[in-house]
This record gives sequence, structure tokens and C-alpha cells, in this order.
Amino acid sequence: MAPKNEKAAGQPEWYRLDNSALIYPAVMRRNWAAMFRVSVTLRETIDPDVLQCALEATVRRIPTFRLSLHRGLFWYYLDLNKHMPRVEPDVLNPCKKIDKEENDGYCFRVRYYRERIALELFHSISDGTGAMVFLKTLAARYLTLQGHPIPAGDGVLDCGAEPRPEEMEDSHTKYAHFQHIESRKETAAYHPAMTREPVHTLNIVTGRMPVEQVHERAKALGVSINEYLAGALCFTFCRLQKRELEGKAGKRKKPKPVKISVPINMRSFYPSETVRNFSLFVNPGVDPSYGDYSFEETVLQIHHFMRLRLNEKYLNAVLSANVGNQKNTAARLAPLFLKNWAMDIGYRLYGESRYTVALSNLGVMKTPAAMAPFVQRFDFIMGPPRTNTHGATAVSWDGTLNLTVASVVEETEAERLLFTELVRRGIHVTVESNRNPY
Amino acid sequence: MSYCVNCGVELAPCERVCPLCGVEVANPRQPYDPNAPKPFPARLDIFAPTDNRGFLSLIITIVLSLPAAICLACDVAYTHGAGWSMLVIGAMAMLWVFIVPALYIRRHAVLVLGVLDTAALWGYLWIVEHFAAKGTWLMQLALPLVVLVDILFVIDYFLMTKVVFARLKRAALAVATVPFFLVGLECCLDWYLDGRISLSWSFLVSVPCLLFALLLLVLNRRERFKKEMHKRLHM
Repeated sequence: MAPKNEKAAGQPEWYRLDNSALIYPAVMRRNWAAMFRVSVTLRETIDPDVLQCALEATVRRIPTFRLSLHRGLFWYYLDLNKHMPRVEPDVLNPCKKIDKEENDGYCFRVRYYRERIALELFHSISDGTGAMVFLKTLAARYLTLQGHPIPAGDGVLDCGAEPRPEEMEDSHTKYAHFQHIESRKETAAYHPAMTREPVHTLNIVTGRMPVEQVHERAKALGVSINEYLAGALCFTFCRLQKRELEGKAGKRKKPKPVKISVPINMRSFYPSETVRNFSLFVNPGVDPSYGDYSFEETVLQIHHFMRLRLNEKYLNAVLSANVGNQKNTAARLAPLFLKNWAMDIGYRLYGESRYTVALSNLGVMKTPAAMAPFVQRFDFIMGPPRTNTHGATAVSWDGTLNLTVASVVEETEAERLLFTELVRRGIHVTVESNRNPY
Repeated sequence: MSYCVNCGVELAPCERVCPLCGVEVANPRQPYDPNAPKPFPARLDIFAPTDNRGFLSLIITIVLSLPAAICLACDVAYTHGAGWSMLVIGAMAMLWVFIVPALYIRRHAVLVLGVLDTAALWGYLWIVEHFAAKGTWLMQLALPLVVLVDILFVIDYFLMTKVVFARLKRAALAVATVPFFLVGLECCLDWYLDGRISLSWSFLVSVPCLLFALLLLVLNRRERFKKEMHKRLHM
């Protein structure tokens, strides 16, 4: 067996942050970092010792996770971590920022609870799709060590094989062709006025619903499931804003646009196999200052916006603009503290203030056929937003769609309006939460 | 399976109340089972308190050193070491002693910091006397006054931590200390200026202070008044 701190052959000593990852360390705060979590629930109670062995094999196979974040003079960089990450028991409030001293400097943590394995990740390391590859490989390795051999395929990597350069590449730089550079001008979006919880709190409400029912409702409107869910979310926040404005007698009553930030997996447009970040986002929504949009109208607005934007040429123009900023000579020569300052101001002006809520949908999960009988469910949770109040995520497995709303506010009005609207439309929703004290 | 009568959603078996609206599960056929598996454990992951004292001390040291160094350089360069810069250096050093140890000392903090601050004050007064205003004022006026304040402070601190606990009583004690200080002040001033002690004005100020302290003690016995004050003045 190779020594634990030995790097795989052909693996770089260190990595530059990819284009999407650059913003996250710059806007990080003492008590906040852009975190998210993916988890898989198996059918047997997790053995922490076996999980630890599986984790060590998985980080050797996927070296872009075996990294710690460091400050350079001009850019942050990711350096090979000489230690092995440790698994730890799960908690009530996931996605807390990982302190530098915690977990030997790793930018992710693996937690277990009953039958569940959860991976919490700082966004500079990977996006949802990359994280799911790591999680599925980890779960497959765990099952293999438990005596259920799982072959590679469908997002599961072979832990016996060497890491491939395509898995470690920065696809942003590779695929940006600079034919056109799109500068996006976004207006400020509505943000609900709610009571913020203490800093470590993350309120999670998951609605479980049959994919088939959601698909039927979406199909009836001629839209995809993702567009339907984004529409439902947008409609929810429009109603919230309307109520808020009705309560403000005598004050300014002009409503703001309600916009949903929808991440786009760029691997659907390019033959990328990277397990690092490779996603962009679009901000569809409606502007209630034109009048009240019905549910169907909202969903169709989202649908048309998405159809207009989701094409390779437009997305590449946005990608090129982002990579162009990174390649700009003045930006490259500026010391890191100046870049951090500029990016923080940029994030305040054009980040979370430009959308009401994010909705990230990982779609239908696929696993090797041998693994499927051992998997109960997949979950996906967005970490606490920095200034916004809510984040929504969705993932489907075995005919069930898990729609999770994570929030940092006391009020449950948004979640209630969303799920009751889906129930009203004939979708059977089962809710579970970490809100109720045990 | 149980449904929320208010929201219409099905509730997971682990939910005692609807997480969306707070309405309790009311299903006689399937009451809430406290042993049902919960989606998350009860353990909270909270932020460890961060210790920035080292960094803060460094910043304070740099900020205080800067004017001291500039004054010393100007003193040497333009006034050929006349010594006036020692007043600024001493003042900065005294401020440093006032601020930085307070960040670190936790046990018996009030007494230890009191001793340190007094020593720093004495040191600064000595610098003033030595470099700017030579005379007997340091030994005959300043030091006795500092000692008097220290003694009164220690007595009040001891009484407030060991004997007197009620807020109004503590306020009465603090007000009652003022006459002792005033009498001591007049004694020191008379001795320094005339070489003899004849008390006069300190009595005039002391009487209202003692009466006010007495009033506070009386009010302390009025529960209704205390409640009313607590209601109106709570922070």
C-alpha cells in the first residue's frame, strides 16, 4: 500500500482555482463560506471505520478533493494536503463554514448518521455534479468494502485506477472561445424582510414528492421539471412580496423583480469530465411591477427565459466574459488583497442582491445497477446564503423528487407557500425538517 | 401517515408538529412516535470562539508606538533631545498598560488591572515631574491622591463583591464613597498649599451625597418602585 501522503503519478503539486471558484474565498467571511451538501442514504447503518477506509481510497482516486486552500501573493491556490481527512458524526445544522484548523485544512467534510453518508463542501473545490461523483464513488467504495462489489460507471469512479487529467482540468479556460463576450446587466431583485437566525443556524425543510406527478404537471404546461420548480419558487416569493407590500400602508409600494438563480451544468454543453467546478447560472424571474402573474404565467415566463438563454453560444459568451476578467493583465498583476476587495464589492453589487433565491437541481441520479438496491435516497442541501434568506435544491432518485429549502430565517412562510401550492396542484408532498426540537 | 390539517402536506413520522405552520399532529390512528428516526441528529455544530487578542495587541502596540517614535525622532532631530518626547512616550506606554493587559487577564481582573493601572499612572506622573514640571507636587499632592483613590476603590470593590449585592445598595455605596474622596482631596490640597489642614467646602458637597445615598437605601426597600424602575430602564 502506498504511503498516505504520497501523491498519485502525474498529479500536479498544486492547482490554480478554476474560474467559478475564484469568487468564493474572496467573499468568505469569518462565520460564512459558500458551502453545500450532498448525501446518500443507504439501507444499512454506516460503519465509521469502514467509511474512513473508503474515504481514504476515494481521496486518492479524486485528488482534486485532497487539497487545502492557501493564499498566494496574487491568487489563492489549492495545495496537496499531506494528511488524510477524517469522517465525523453528523450534526443538526450542516454546512457550517469549515475553519482552517478544522479537518487538517481540508475544504470538505464527510459526515455519517444512521444509514446516511453526507459530503459537505466548500464551493471552490467543486460544484454539485463533481461533489456527486465524489459521493457516489465514496458510497460505492464503502459498499465494496462491506462485501458488495460495485463496478465503475454512471458517475462512480474506479478507485483502483489512476486519476485522469480530464478529471482535474479547468474546463472554463479550456472551452471559453472568446468569439463574443456577453456583459450581463442585472437589476436588483426582491429579498424578503424576515428575522435572521443566529449565525450557525440552518433551517432545512425537505418536501418529498413523486417525480411522475411533478413531470405530469410540468408537461401539461409544456415545461421541464426544473422550470416548473423554478416557476413555483418564483410564484411563492411574488406572493410573499405582495403580502409584504400590502402590510406597508402609506409607504412606497413599487414591487421589485423576483428572480431565481438557476445554476447551469456546463457539462451538458461540452464533453467535459472534470470533477471541479464547471457551471454558470442564469437568473430568470418575473417583474410584478407589470401586474400580478398567475402560477401558469410565472412558469411560462421562466420557461421562455431559459429557452432563450440555454444555448451553447450564449453561455460561451458569458463563460468568455468570466474567463476574460480572470485573464485581464491588470487583474493578474493586482495583489490578492486588492482582488479580494474588488471581488467583495462586486459580489455585494452583482451577487446575491441580483436574485431572490437560488434553485439548484441535480436532476435524476444514476448509479451502477449493482449499487441501486443499496441506495434509499439522495439529498442535496444548499448552505446558508451570505445576505439572502433562502436556498432551494432538488435531486431525484427512484421516482421521488426531494425538494429542499434551506433558510437562515425564523419564518417558515416561504416554505409553506411553496409546498402548499404544490399540494394545491395535486402533487403529494411529504415534509420533514430539522426545525422541530427533538 | 399523518397530514397537516392546515397545510395539506403529509408529515414524516418523526414530525411532532408541522414544520411549515407549527400545527400539532392530531391523528388518533397514528399518534406522534417520539422514537421514529429523525432526519438529523440533535448535536449542534457551533462556531468555536475565535481568539484575536494577539492580533489586536499587535495593532494597538503599532498604533501607540507610531506617535511615540515620531515624537522621539523630532525631539532628537530638531530640539536636540530636550526630553519633551518622553511625555508622549510615557503617555503611550501608560495607554498600552491600560488597554493590552485587560485583553489577557481574566482571574481577579479588577484588582490586578487596578494595581497595574495605578503603577502605570505613577510612572507617567514621575515622567511629567522629571521632564517637565519639577517640584514637590508629585510626592505631596499627586501620589497621596492616587493612593486615596486606590484605597477607596479596593474597599468598594471588596464590599460590592462580598457584602453588598443589590443594585441600589451598590449605587448608594458608590455615592457614599464620594464624600470620603472629597475630604481626602481637600486635606491634600490644604497640606500642599498651606502646610495645614482646615476642612470647609468638602463638607458642603458631602452632605448632599450622603443624603442621596440614604435615599437610594430607602428606595431599595420599596419593591414596587424597583420593579417599575426595572421595567422602564431595562437595557
